[in-house]
Amino acid sequence: MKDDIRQVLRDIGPRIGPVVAIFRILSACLLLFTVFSKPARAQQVPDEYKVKAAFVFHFAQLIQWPVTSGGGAEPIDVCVFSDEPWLPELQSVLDGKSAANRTIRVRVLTESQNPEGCEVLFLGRSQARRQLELLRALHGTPTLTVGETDSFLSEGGIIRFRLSEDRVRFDINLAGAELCHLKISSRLLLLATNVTRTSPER
Amino acid sequence: MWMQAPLLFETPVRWHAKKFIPALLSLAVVLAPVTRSIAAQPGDLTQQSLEDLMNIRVTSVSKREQKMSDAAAAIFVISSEDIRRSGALNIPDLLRMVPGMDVAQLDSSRWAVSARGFNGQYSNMLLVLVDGRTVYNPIFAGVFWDSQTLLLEDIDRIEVIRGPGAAVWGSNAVNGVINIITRTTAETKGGLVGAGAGSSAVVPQTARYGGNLGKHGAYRVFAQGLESAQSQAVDGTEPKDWRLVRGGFRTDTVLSGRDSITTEAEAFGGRSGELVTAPVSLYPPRMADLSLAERYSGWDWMAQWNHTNSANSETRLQFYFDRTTRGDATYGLAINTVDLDFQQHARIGNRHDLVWGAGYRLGADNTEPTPRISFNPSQRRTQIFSFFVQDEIALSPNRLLLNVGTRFEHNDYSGSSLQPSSRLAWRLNPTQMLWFGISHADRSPARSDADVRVNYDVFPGPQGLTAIVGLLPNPNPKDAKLTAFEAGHRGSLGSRLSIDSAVFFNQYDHLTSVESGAPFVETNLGAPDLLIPMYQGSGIHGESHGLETFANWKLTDRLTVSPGYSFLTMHLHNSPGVMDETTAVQTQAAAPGHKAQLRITLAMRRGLTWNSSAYFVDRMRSVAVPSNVRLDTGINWRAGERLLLQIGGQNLLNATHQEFAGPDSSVDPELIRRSAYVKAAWTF
Repeated sequence: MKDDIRQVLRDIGPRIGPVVAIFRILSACLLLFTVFSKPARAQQVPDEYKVKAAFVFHFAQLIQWPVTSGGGAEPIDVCVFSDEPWLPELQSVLDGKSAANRTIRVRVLTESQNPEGCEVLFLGRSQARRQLELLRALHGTPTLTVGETDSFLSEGGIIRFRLSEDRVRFDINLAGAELCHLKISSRLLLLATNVTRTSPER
Repeated sequence: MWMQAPLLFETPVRWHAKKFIPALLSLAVVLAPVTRSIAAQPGDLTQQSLEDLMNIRVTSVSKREQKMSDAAAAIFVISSEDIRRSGALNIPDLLRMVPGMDVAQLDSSRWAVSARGFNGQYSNMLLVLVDGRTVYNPIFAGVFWDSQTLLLEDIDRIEVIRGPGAAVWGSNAVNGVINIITRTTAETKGGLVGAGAGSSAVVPQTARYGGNLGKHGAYRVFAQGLESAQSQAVDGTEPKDWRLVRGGFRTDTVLSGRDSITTEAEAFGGRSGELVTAPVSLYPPRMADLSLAERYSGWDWMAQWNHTNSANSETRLQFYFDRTTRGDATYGLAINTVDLDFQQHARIGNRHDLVWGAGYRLGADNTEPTPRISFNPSQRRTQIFSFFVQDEIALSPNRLLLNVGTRFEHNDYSGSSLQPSSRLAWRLNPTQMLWFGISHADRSPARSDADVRVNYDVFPGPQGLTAIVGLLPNPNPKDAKLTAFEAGHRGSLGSRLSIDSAVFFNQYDHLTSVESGAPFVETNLGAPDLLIPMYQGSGIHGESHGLETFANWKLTDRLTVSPGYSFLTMHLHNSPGVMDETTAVQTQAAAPGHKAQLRITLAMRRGLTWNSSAYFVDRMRSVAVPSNVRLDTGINWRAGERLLLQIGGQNLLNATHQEFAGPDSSVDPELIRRSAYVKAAWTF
């Protein structure tokens, strides 16, 4: 093994002079970089759905639900169907956090359960087949629907996530929000990539 | 050889320090602080502002799991993240990560790629599509990988289906489909310049720029060039080179909320050196070892119109034109292809998800006869008509999905055929799924079956006649047929470990056979010659069975380990009356029995990612290619927002090794050398 490596370096040495030079410079740079820079906070690539969960947290802070009989102190239920593969990521980020003095609770729905009484319903791509049906059933109820498919807003959803160059972006359907009596803060509207007023297709 | 692989289980620090020369020690030092912080927990994302969140790059691992989770087939998706991390410099090398794929490099520019056996330079049972355009060569019935050098940075994903996909994708999707999907232009705005160098690995130089096109569209233009350093022939003769330039554009335009149009065009030209032993003259008979340049060029243009009829129905109309020319001193051909394809996808009620479509393809070619290869007729037009329908029926919503479909196809060689398929996906619970499939697929005959004449050997015969060992066309070409029985399991254990396995039993019929016959005097070649004939037929049948399994294990948020294993056995036989002593034996012996792989990805701090992959391929018995382990490793460094640096090594374990030799290659195989490369990509 050792001899093999020596041999290859001998073989390729004269042929790849520039490569070796760049490699050495790079290695030296890396070494210097490591030695002289302070250990910074671990920076890593987080999972897409952990970041989306953090977005949902901010939505909960920047959206006002109509005041209910509970006086606005009951938990915010973020509902997710049990067959979403990213459910653990969402739970790890959101469950038990508090937004606008209300506790966030991730509620897991079985496939046959109706998403009633949810403040937020997050529909992943795997629900595409019955998305329209679910959105129609929620028509006019104070549930913030968050989805991912291209047709989500035109089917009556309120906020749609999409990825642009590996970064999370979102679009808002204002007509949908108004129908559901949700007040969206202007800060959120400013950050949305697109704000539309699509009425759901009937 | 395989015993060396467990080295990978040690930490990278020890591995480098123990085994690498001091010049590499600096890397180990870099890695050292990193390995300590593997277990560090990520910060609480909810504490970051929305603006910060919007600037985070995310991995979309779940996208793959999502797409794959419902498919009742052996699907593997290579994501753009996988592409970036793998350090692969070309598409065949990327495909090595797909369990069950056979990928063997022949020389610096040629690869043999196949799934579930039958590998060869002209392996003809694998369908390859780029954005819906087939790149399967209709004359040789195969894919020339030397001209499929896409910009890897612009690939969104590569979906690989092992097993038949003919019902939807069409003929020749017998043992697999490779579907390469490039990113939309909305995702590639801005500039990209990529440059690099390798010792014997070929690193393409690339440039791309994208921007807005009017109010509702976007475009990108790209250019690519590559030039190989030199690889080494088995016998140490002249090295061969590979050069290629390529350029093109893509536009995506949204016409209305319901309509969008995509157009793509590209042109390329290149050459690959090769060593060929071939006849250069028939009268007098003369063979020569030729060091040639195979030259190829082409251009294509594609337009695709997507229309949304309603929330439940979409249609797609696609047209493309493709021109390819290819040749060296021993053959020459040009092909024009026109293809028109329509597809509708409709959800009907709650239970039916229907896709149907129709297609027409016209191919017109022109070949140039040489003493080695000629086609009769030298020009030919061929047409294919096809129609398919597939319905996914939710027998029990989200639990039991039945997928039935069939394709009707008519081609000029073998007439009409029906390629049905039925598949069942059974979700046991949210994390576990079983699937079963029975499907039928055909490989339609190509010019190389029906019209080709190849003179392998010429020498002076008795009475001054030229003696020719010649391959004759199949007078009655038939579709090679496959009936495949497949089953698989896909599941996750907790949120960190996912497993995917498939087993299959394939029955083949009408595979190509070659029988030698009694010599006779042939008079139709200008002067009389003594022909020692080899007759092509459809006289091989047989079975194969195998297993493919892989896992993806996120040990920590930073460390992912992906082991895979596959196994294949083939039993091919001559049909009654067929006297073919070599094809069946050689084909089954050229399929490696066992393959295994281990890939490790370690995301480190400061934008560093370390990626290693080890691939074990069993020996190919009849053709004397020993088993080999290929070890590739590399480090990616995202130096800030705009710069990505990569360094890596390929084939690290041996100075040289041979990956392929077989009946199905037209060039002399070469030794693949150990190699190092550096690469930089700058976006602006």
